[in-house]
Amino acid sequence: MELREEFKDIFTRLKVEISKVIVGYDEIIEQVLIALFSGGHILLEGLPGLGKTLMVKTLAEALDLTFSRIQFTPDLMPSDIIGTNVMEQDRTFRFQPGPIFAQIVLADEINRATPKTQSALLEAMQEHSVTISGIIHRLKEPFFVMATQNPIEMEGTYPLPEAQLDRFFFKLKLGFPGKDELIDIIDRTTNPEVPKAEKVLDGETIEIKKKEIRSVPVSTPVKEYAVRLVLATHPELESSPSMVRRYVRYGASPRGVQSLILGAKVKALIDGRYNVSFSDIRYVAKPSLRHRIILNFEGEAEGLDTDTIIDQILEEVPELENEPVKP
Amino acid sequence: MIGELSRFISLVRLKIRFVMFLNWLLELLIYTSIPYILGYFFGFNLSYLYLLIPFATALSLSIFRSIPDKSVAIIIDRDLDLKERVITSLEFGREESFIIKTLINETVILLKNLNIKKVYPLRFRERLKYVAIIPPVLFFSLMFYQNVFYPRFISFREEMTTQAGIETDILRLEQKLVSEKPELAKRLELLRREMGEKKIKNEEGLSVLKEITKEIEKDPGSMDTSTRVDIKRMLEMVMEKMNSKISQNNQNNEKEQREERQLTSDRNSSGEGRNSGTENFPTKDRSNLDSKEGGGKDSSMGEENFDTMSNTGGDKKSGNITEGGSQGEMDTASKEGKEGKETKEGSNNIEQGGTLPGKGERENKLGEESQRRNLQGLPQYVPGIPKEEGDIKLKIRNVGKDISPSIGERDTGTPERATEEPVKKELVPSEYRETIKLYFERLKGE
Repeated sequence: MELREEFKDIFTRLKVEISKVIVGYDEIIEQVLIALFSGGHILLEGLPGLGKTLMVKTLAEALDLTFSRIQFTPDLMPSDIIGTNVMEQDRTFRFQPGPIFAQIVLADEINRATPKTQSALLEAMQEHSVTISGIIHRLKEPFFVMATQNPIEMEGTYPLPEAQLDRFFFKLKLGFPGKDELIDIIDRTTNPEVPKAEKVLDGETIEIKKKEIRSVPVSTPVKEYAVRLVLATHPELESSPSMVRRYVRYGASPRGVQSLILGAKVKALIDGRYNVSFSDIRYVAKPSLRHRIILNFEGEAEGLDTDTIIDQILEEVPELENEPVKP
Repeated sequence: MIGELSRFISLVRLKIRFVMFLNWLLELLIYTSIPYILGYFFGFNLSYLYLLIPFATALSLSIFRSIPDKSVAIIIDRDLDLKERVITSLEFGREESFIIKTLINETVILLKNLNIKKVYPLRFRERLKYVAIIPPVLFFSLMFYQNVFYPRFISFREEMTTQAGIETDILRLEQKLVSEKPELAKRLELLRREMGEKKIKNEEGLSVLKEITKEIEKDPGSMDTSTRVDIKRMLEMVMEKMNSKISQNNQNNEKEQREERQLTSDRNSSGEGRNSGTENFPTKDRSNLDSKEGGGKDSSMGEENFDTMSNTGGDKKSGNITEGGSQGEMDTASKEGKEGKETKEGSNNIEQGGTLPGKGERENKLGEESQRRNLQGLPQYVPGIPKEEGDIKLKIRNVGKDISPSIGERDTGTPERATEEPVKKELVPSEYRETIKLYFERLKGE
C-alpha cells in the first residue's frame, strides 16, 4: 500500500477508536495525532470535566504502548518523576525508574507542581533521555508526553515557564461541547456498557511513519511563508502587525517554525497529498504558536488571547511575499 | 513527466506574456495620447507612425522580460488551486524518490484534467487606474483653460501661422524666380524679410507683389510659358489672400471703432469713464494677454491695437503713444481732451487720469517693439496644408480684434470682455454702487 493510503488508514482507524470514547473534539483528536506522528508533545488546556485526561487515556489504550500517569501536586519532587537510585540490601545502588520511563506519559495538571519539578520534564521531553547521578538513561521510543492544565483555579499553581512551554509541540484548547455532543456523552457514559478503545497501532509502526512523514517535500515559498509567520510574532520587527508590536513581549522561537512545518507535513498526508501547502501551514499555526507567544502586561490587562494575535498575523501576512509576475 | 510539466509551464508563460503585452500596450498608449492631446490644443501635428512606438515597446517588454519557471508554477498553483503541487514538483523534480515521482505524476494528470485557460486570466495592473485618468483630465483641463481663461490662444497661434504661411508662399515664389529673374527674386526676398520683421504693412507688400506681377507680364525673360503662368497664378493667390486679410482687418477695425465710440458715450453718460477707460480692466487677464502677444516681435496680428497703449515696457517714463494710434483708441483719448495724434503730453495726461493697482505691472509686460506697430486692423490669414507643390490653401479667420492686446481696447462682443467689465454688466450690487462711485471720485480728486 502506498504511504499516504497506509497513513490515512492508520490515522482513520486511530481516530475512530478514540472517537468511541471521546465525543466531539474531532479537530482536537486530529491535532493530537498530528503531534504524535510528528514526535512532539501536547499541552491540553481546558476546564475541569471536559475529558482531557480521558482523551489521553483513550489514546494510550488505542496504541500498543506503555502508559503512565503522573498527577502533579505542589509537593511532587523531580525524583518522583524521573526515578532515583535506591540502596539494595547488599549496599549497592540500583536505579529505580520513575513514571517518565513510559511511552505515553500523562502529566495531569502540570501547573500544580513547582517549577523545579516541572523542569524535570525538560530533558526528557527534548532529548528523550534522563540523567541521574551522571548516568544518561534513554527513554523508549516513541516517547509522548501529554500534559493537561486548568486555566482557572490558578491559586496555588505555578504557570509553566517559557522554556517548558516551548517544548510542547502543540497547545490544544478544549472548548465546551455542544448540545448534541452532551447528549452523546450521556448515552455513552451512563449506559451499562462503557465503550473502550482497541489497540490499533504499535510503537514500531509509529516510528516508521514518523520517519516517512519527514520525507514529504516542502517547497521554498511554503517554507518562507512559515518563517514569515513566525517572524511576524516578534514585536521588535517593524514588519510585524501592529497588534503584535503593541501586545506581545516575546515571539515564537525556532521550535515554532519546526512545529509548523512538521505539523503541516502530517496534515498534508492526512489530506492525501505528498506536498505541503499554505493551507496546511495555516491549519497548524494556532496550535503551534499560541503557547510560544508571550503577551506583555498591556496584552494581559486587555484580556487578549494569543489566538486573536495569531488570527491577525494570518490575516496580515500574505502567502507570497511578492506577486510572482505582475501583469 | 517533468517534461510534460515544463510544457504546461511554457504554455502558461506564453499567456502571461500576452497579458503583459496588453497591459504595457494600454499603458503606453495612454502615455502616447498625451502629446496628441497637447498637439490638438497647441496646434502641432504628430504622425500616426508615432503610435508604433508603444506597440514596439510593449512587444519588447513582454518578450524580453524574464519570467522564471518558479513564478509560473506558483501562478498555476494559485489559479487552479493545486495546493502548491506544481511548485513542489518543479523544485524537487530532480529527486528520484517515490514520493516525488508520485507527486509529479499526480500533478501532470491534474493539469491535464483542469482547464489551463483559467490560469492567469486577463487582468490589468493597479496603476492603470490612475494612469488612465491622465488623458481625460489633461484634455478637459486644457479645454477648460482655453475656453474660460484663454480662449484666444488658438486664434493667436493660427494668426501666427497665417503670417508665416504668406511668408512661405512668397519664399516659394522667390525660389521659382531665382534662376529666371534674380532681381525680382531679390525684391521678393526683401519683401518677405520686411514683412517678417514687421517693417512694412500688408498693403505695401501687396503693392510690391503687384509690381512684380506687372514686371513678369511685361518682360517674361527666358521663362517658358508654363513657368510664367505658374508664377503668375501663385502671385495672384498670395495677393488674393493678402487682400482678403486687409479687407477683413478693415472691417474689424471699423467694428471696433463703433463699439469704442458706443462704450465711451455710455461711460460719459454714466459718469464712470474718467479717462480713456483703460484702467478699468482687471489687471490679471490683461497682463496675460499682453505678455503673450506684446512680447513677440513677429506677431503680425493685433498689432494695430498695440499702438494706442499709453505707457508700456521700457518706455514707461515717457508713456508715449509713439506712432499713429488706431482711430478707435485715439477717439477714446480725445474724449478726455486729448488729440488723435497723441504726443508725450497726451499720454502723460492719460497716465494722470488715474491708475488702478496692477496697471504698471501690466504695462511693463507689453512688448515695447510691438506697441509701436500700427497695422490697420487687417484681416488675418490661416494657412491650409498644401497637398502638393504650388497648391496653397488659405482660409481667413476673423480673429484680429480678439487678440488685441491694447489696454484701451473695447471689445465687448466676447464673453470674456463682458466679465472684465463688472460695472457695465451691473455685477456690482446696487447698494455698493454709490460707495464705489465715491471711491473713484475721491481718487480723481487726488
